[in-house]
Amino acid sequence: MARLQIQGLSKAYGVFSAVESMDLDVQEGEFIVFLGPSGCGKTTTLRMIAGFIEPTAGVIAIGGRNLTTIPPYRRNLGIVFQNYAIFPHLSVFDNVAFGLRRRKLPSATVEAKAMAALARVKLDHLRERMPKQLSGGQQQRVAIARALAIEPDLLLLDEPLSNLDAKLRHDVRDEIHRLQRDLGITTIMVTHDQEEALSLGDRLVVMNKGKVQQIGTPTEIYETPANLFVADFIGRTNVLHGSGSEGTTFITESGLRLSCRNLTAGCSAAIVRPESIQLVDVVSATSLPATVEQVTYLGPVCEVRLQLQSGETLLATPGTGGAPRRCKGEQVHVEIAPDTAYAVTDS
Amino acid sequence: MDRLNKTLMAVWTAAGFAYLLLPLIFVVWMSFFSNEIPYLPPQGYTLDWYAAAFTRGRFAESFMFSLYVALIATALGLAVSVPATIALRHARSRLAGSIVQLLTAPLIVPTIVIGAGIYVTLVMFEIATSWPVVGSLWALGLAHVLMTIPWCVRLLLANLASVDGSIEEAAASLGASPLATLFKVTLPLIWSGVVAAGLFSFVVSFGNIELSLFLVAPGSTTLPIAILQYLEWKLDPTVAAVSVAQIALIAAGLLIADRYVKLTRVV
Repeated sequence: MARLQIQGLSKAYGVFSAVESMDLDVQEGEFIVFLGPSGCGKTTTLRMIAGFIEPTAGVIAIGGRNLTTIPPYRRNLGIVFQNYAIFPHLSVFDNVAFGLRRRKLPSATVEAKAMAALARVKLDHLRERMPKQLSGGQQQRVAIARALAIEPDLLLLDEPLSNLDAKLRHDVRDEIHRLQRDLGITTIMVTHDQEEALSLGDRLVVMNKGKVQQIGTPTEIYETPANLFVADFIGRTNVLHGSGSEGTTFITESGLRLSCRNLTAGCSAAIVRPESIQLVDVVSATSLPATVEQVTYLGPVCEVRLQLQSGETLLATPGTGGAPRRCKGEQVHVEIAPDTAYAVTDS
Repeated sequence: MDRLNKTLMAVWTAAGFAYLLLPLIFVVWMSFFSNEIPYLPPQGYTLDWYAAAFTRGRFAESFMFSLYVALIATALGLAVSVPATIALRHARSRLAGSIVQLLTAPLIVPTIVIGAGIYVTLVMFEIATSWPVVGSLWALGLAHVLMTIPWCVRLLLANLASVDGSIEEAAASLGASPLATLFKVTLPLIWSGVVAAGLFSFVVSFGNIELSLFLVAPGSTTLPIAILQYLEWKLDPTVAAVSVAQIALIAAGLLIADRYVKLTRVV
């Protein structure tokens, strides 16, 4: 449990820059999520923190100790790998005890700590099992117990949920959340799943093409994205490109005037979240006529693609409980909730 | 239809096994014939040829010589191949690729050509240094390493492919030094491959004729060469008895190894 500081961290492969001059200060006990599309540099950054990749430049310090040139086996970090990386030749107990034994602890201590870690993930009854006899979810929990048993300064999670099925993913996600809060362990997780990121992270680091786009709380990232990339990557978004602005009013290419929550000077686009768009039957001064192009039923909500008369395409997600079902070709009116649009710059 | 399939399958399997095993069965059978010239049906049965195998010719001596050669070739082959494959499997560089090619290259050169080449080299070495190396145990053992390395490298690389790199990273993250990772994780995971590679090496070396042909000398002859030389003069069941002893040794090796690793999983 310690503070992690990253300064000017870069990794270049020849002319290709995988991570470019990253700065990050992680507080004790904080849960940070690196989020971005594949190839954005999030995994490279995690692997540099772990010590598997040597940075081209920059400093990584944990608890005030500069770790940049320290090999991984002297860093005291707990890592949960995407494919779990359980030792297939060792029993559940021996897997969890592996790190403790490397620390030359007396066997009674090893036993006690390994069993405590197994109990945390509720696998103490399977201690003699071999990994082959475990389900994917159980292997995942062994991997977590193994990483926690050594009482690491930092817990690194590399897409820990991507190999689990949808139902299990929710359970494990909650379990990771609970463990992290209970132990108060500083945690960094890499994911490309925005829902995972929003639900787990105290703060998110959104990355693209090796560069940090924004660092902020889930609310900040979702509601006040730093640029078009962040706005578009997190959540479903309507992006309306524009040509001009007046104060907080953004004017789109087709001349549509959107009242924004922020000042729009210098912004090239405005975003409108689908949940701020309502389909109304009563025509008002602010409503816009539109045609329903496609309706996708998703259970709690419907995804409705609309073509405005002015030419723009918008996505709305009206709830399904009691609301009238729309169908393709239907003429409707659209109301964008006032001050929900948000103007963003390109980068 | 299903029954027909099963019957056909059984017939084909039986035919396959017969094709593979008949020569072996004949050798074993022949080793008990009491008549000196092999013909059918045999006059009677005797164990005399097994006694003869120890006393006649130089079978006992060359058996031990072959055993030493095979042990040297196996040990050195593993000593080169295990570290080499562990080091090279993740490497993507052209140099690493070339080294793997080089290590497996002897497989594509006819063994007798290699044998002749080594012989010429050793003679030149002898002339230059007046050190008697031709026909020595170590010269043969080192020559056989050329055959055992390609087998070991092939088998070990195939085995290592199933070891995920992140398993070793996990070990490192848990505090295992590179050496501890090697002995606690990597080697245990490829252990069955190492045993299989060793066994293959031994069998390949022990049964080799072409490479040894040029490199043996009077008094230091391998068993296959001794059998060959004996057959030039005589065709009696002694050779069959010697062969049975050789088969028994290799079969015993396979059975013992199979107790520790499931060889069918590796080879």
